Amino acid sequence: MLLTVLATISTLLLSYLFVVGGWQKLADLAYFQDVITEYRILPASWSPWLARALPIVEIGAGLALLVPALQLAALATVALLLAGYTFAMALNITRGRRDLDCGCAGPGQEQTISGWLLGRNLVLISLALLAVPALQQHSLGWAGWSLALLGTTVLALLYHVFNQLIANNNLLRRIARHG
Amino acid sequence: MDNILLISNLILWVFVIGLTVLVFALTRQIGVLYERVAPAGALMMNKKLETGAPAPKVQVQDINSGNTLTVGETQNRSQLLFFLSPDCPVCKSLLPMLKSIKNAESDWLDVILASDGELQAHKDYIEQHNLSGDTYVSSEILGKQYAVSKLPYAVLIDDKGLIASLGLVNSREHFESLFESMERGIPSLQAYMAAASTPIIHDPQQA
Repeated sequence: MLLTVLATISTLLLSYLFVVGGWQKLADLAYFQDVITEYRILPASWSPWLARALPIVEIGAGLALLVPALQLAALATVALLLAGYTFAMALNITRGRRDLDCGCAGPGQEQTISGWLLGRNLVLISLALLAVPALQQHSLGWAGWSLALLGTTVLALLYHVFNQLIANNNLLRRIARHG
Repeated sequence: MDNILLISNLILWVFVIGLTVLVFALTRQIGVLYERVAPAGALMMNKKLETGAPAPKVQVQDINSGNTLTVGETQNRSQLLFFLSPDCPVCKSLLPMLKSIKNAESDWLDVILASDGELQAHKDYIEQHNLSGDTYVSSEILGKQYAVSKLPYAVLIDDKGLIASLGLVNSREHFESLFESMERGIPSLQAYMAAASTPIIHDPQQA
């Protein structure tokens, strides 16, 4: 029961994050395309194509997480996507390009790539992997579902708090450089 | 007993969600605050003069003492030119600050108040604001040579007669930015922020 509730929370949380994240990327395609080019990993000519494909895959996987029959495949997709993003960020951090915009959310968020974002992605990947074995062991009653929904709400909010703190940290660093 | 636990649990969930919303709002506010406290600096908008270039030399007469002096000829002291007008309310509000600058930095800096127009208006202004101890010049040529288009405007000339910094000044921070940019050798806040803006890609709306 407990494991199933936790697994449901991870699944719902990932679903929310991917649908919202994909939507934000679709809403500003030109921006996201620039971000992909700036990562300087794949040929720049692929960027327009990737900028359209990635958000659609994200939204698709996010929605598929809610369908029991597709959950396993969706979790695998999510974990792969996250691993890919994490690799791209880690590569650019080792290149010393720490002031690269991560492009995780929309253009409003001034989030540059950092160890914190790598850590965040690793936590999300583990959530996806931990959800797998516990899936479909029990069926949740209404109480289980309410718990899962409440838990997801809190975690989603905390996720936004965490992102905001990372963005704040960047702003603070910019001010501190004046002193 | 079971009932109590259930109720307490429900209340706690509501509190936890409420608190996370609150924490999020607070972090947002801190973010906004960080953006707002980014330093303010004098707006540089002068097509004629550039920092680092020799300051135009203009001979002017001090209304208070009657002495002639040359702006731009500094003789190992720096000059702070403050362009004002008797009918500019912001200029008036900056006068106390200029006095404190003049007193505090008197060992290396001359403060020159500059304006143009009717002599009587300036004499009234000097009396009204107790400026008889200051260097106050009225010269149309000076304003033209330094391409002053908006008031209050300030130009800082260093001890070698070069323009150290200049800009539209509206507050104490703006004055400080003039001295700051002289010390650091950065022409203006705009130049500084352009160099310091972090992300390689940034919001097109902010650009």
